[in-house]
Order: sequence, then C-alpha cells, then structure tokens
Amino acid sequence: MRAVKYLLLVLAIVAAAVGPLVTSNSFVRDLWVLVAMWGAVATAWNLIGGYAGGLSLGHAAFFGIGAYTSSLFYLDLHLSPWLGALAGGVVAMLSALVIGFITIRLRGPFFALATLAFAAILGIAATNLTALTHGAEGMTIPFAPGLGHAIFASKLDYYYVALALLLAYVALTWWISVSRFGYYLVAIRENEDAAQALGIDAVRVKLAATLLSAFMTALVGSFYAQYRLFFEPSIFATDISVQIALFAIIGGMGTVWGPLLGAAILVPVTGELQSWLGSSLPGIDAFVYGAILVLAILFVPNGFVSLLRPLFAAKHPPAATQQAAEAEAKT
Amino acid sequence: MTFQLFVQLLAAGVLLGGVYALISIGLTLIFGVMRIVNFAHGEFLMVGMYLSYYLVTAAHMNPYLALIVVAPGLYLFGLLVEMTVIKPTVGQSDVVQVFATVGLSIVLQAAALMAFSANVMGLNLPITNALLHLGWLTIGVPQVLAFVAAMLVAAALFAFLGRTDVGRAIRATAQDRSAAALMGIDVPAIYRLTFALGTAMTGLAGALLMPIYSVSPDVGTQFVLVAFVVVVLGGMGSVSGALVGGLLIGIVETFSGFVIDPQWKAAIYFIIFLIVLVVRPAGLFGIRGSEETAS
Repeated sequence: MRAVKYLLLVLAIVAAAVGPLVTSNSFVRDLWVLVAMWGAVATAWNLIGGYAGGLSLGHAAFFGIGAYTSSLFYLDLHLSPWLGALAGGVVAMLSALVIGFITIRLRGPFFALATLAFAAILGIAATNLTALTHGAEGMTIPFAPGLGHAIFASKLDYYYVALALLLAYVALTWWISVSRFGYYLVAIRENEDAAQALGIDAVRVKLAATLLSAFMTALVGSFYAQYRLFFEPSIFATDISVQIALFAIIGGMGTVWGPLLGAAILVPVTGELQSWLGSSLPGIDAFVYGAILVLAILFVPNGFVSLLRPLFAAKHPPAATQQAAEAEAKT
Repeated sequence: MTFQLFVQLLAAGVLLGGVYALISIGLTLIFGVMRIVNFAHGEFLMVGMYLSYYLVTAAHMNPYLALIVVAPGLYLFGLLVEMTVIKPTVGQSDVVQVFATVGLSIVLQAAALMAFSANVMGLNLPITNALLHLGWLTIGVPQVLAFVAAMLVAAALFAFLGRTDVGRAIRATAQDRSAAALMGIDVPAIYRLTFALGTAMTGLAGALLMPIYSVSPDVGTQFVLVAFVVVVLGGMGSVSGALVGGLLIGIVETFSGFVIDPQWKAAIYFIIFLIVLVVRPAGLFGIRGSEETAS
C-alpha cells in the first residue's frame, strides 16, 4: 500500500510538471495556473481552517493585502515584486495579529463572521483610500516582462512559479501534520478545553497558525497581481474568501492533499461551466456550481479526499470512527 | 449641527433602524432556536422582494396588500428549504452548516439571475414617493410604514412566543433541545416551523423594502452583512436584541454618513461589529456562551 501511495505521488508530480506542456491552448494553460494558485491559497487556508478548526471567511483580506502591497511597492518605489511579496507577507502577518487577537476565542460561525467583517473593512478602505490604491479604478501593472519585474510573457513561467509555491505549501503542511505543532492544532480543534488542560497554549498555537496562513496567502496574492496585472478592491470580496474555503472543504479540510484536490476539481469545473453554459443563460453556470457545492457538502462532508482514503492503508483513523468519537464528545 | 438637522437625522436613523430590525428578526429567530447561522438570509430577503415586485407590477396589487401573499409564500419556501437543505445539517459540524447555507445562497442568486436577469428593478408608484411633512420635518411614507410594520411584527412574535403553546414549545427547544424532546416536544417539527416562520418574516421584510429599495439578484448581499451586525450587536437569538440593535445601527449609520464621508459608513458598523465581538460577544441581550469556544 505504501508503494502505491508513493507511486501515485510521483505520478502526480510528473503530471503537474509536464501537464501544461502537452497543450498550447491558452485557456487550458490558464486553468493549470489557476489550479496551482488556488490550490496554494486553499492549502494556506487549511492550516487555520482545517487543522486549527477556525472557519475563516476572510482570507481574501490576506490575499488582497499581498496583491496591494507588492504592487504598491513595485509601482511607487520600483521594488521588485519578489521582495514586495515578502513585504506583503509581513503586512498580512501584522494584520493577522490584530484580527487574531480579536477573533481567536470565537466559536465557528462567529469566527467566520468576524473574519468576513475584517475583509469587508479592507475592501471599503481599498475603495476609498484613492490616493493610495486608485480606488475603484483598480491597480494596473504595466506589462514589462523580466525576471526582476516578476512579469513573464509565457503562462508557463507563471505556472512553474505557482507550482513551486504550491509544492512548498503542501510539503510544509505535510511536515506540520506530523509535527508537534500539527498535533497541537488538531487537539485544539477537537477539544480546546482538553487541549488547554494538557498544557497547550491554545491562543498562542492558533495565532501562530493564523500568522503562517496569512503570510502564505499574501504571497499568492502578490503572484495573482503579477499574473493578471490588474485587480480592483473586489479582491477583498466575500466571494473570494468563500471560494478559498470551499476549495479546501470540498477537497477535504485538515488533510495534506485535500485543498489541492478541491482546487483541481472546482477550478476546471467552474471554468468549463462558464465557457460551456455561461453564454446560453446568465447565471446557469453559477446555479450548477452552487448545486454541486450543496450536494457535495451534504453528501461528502469530509471532502473528496475521504473517498480516496480506502485506497490507502488505514494510517489515519477512518472517518466513521472519527465521527462517532465526535458525536460522543458532543453529548 | 442645528437642532433641526439633528432631529431630521435622528428620524431618518430610527426609520432606517426599523428596516434593519425587520430584516434581522428572522435571522435571530432561526439562530436562537436551531443554532444555525443562515448565510442565505440575504437571498431569502431577495426572494421576498421579487415576489412582491411581481405581485405589484404583474398582478397590479397594492404593495402593502401584497404582504398577505408574500408572507405565506415565503413560509412555504422556508419549509421546502428546511426539508431539503437545512434538516440534513442539524447536529452536523459548523463547516457543514455554514457552507450548506453559503451554497444555497449561490444557488438562489444564480436562480434569480436566470429568472429575472441582472437588471435593477424598482417600484415607481405614488405611494413609494409619498412624503410626510411634520412641520419642518420630512420623512418618507414607505419608511414610516416599514418601521410601523417592524414594530407590529416584533410585537406579534413576542405574543406568539410568550402566550401560545407552540410559542412555548419553540422557547423550550431554544433553551434545551434534549429536555424539550423528553417533555414530548417534536423537536424536528419545531425546527421546521421556526425556519419557515423566520423565512416568512424575512420575506415580509423584503416586501416592505420593495417600495423603498430596488431589487436585483445580488440585493441580499447589501443587507445580509447589516443583518449579521444587528443580530450580533443585539445578541444572537434575541428578538428584542434585534430591535434595539437595528435601531442603534440605523442611527449610527445615518449620523456617521453625515459626519464623515458616506462611503465609510459601512466600515463604521463593521468596526462596531468587531468591537462588540471583543467586548461583549454575547451582544446586548444574547445568550451567553453561544459564541465562545465550545464549552
């Protein structure tokens, strides 16, 4: 079974490395970039959402902070976006520190609402601080290809940058999932009081996960800005936060590969639905998409990864026993 | 600021607050009893607005007479949603509850886009533009009607919850669902009833908003965040909290829109929202502990 697992892993990496080379279709290559990009963001969300159990609906905040910070440094101070992205990550961590202190004690839906409000405030600020952000006009980055500018003529170059981020994030998640830090997070998610009683500083551990997740999300936000070369304050919209969370949830939250799997399923589905149905009747693509989401959440609540789990040896406890334990803990 | 201006702003704020209270009552009722935060709440409002719009424009009903069709219509709609989407999520994890309703809101918005297109549609009737002149004070008639209706709906809900057997059963379920079940209350039936009732009230709110605002498929997103702010400020699950919270937010929004740039007024209530969550997460009248980490 272990052999199967490693074989699949190698196959997946090879497929990811050569996949976009097979086609020269720009639409399909764009999908590859978007899968890698959203897969990376969803993997970052998963640290706080999946492992620590904090249902963030405000990750667009960190994504947008990354995009705005690197772009502002690039356009106004001519700082290379590679460094600007790091600056964006730091700004995102600072904002995560503030919002983390406010929200970290809140229960599921309340945490979701508070993070949602946070992103909404940033969206309003980005719209109205026109001197800094150009307001609703949005930020336009002139097309000037070059490695130092982090602007590329070919989608393939963007793809490999996104893939590198994605692989780094998945590897980091795997490392966390087998580390003491990861076990702390899961312990807090399953029963915060019990975790506290065992001596885990829950607030500190969750805050650490939030900071890390914010930093990772902001890096991808900078990537997005460099890839699209245009964005508006709507980058902070709730839709984007929801989208990020949904990738991880549909794929399987609290698992190493789930968020990527979710993005790999949903990004092409959305893209195909849009190009296939979108023009026939406005809204029908979103309708089908929403219906798929509701059905997936009701019938596959542990994500599509849980359907693949029987393929591998029972290294993790099967979902059924986990649910039974949760049900017991609730009563 | 002159006294006249102050009174004018206060009146506008109180009336706006009545509207906010009205759109929040259904949300807080559903949360209080079922512990479900309905992220599709704004779309229920949107459905109520469209139904009212077509009753007025296609069936030529008076917009206020249309209420007697919209409320039962949305009650049935709520029953349908409860049985198909909400019931399977009761007792499930937060993720399932939050995202089932998020998915539902995407579906409803898309369905409205398919059925009614993205056009923004409003009513233009004598009554929608009618103004009330009280000396130097001028207020809109639809605003006054919406405010009065909000108060009546809240009073009716209080009477229903306080005086009737079904109301008592709902309150018992809200307090302790296991104990309620042991006392012979059919908890799933109470859930169904509460959800449908909350939906009907939200539809009623939509119909009362229709003479004031325009409707489009994404109209719910304009109101849903305010409703959440009101409900958290008043206390999740508290009907009187929704009333007081709605009035407070309405007044704050009106004054802050005047004192500072109106563009920032939405940011003000989000900031209030975050402050409430930090200082008193149970809200003004809330059930303590419902918002904090699992006990």
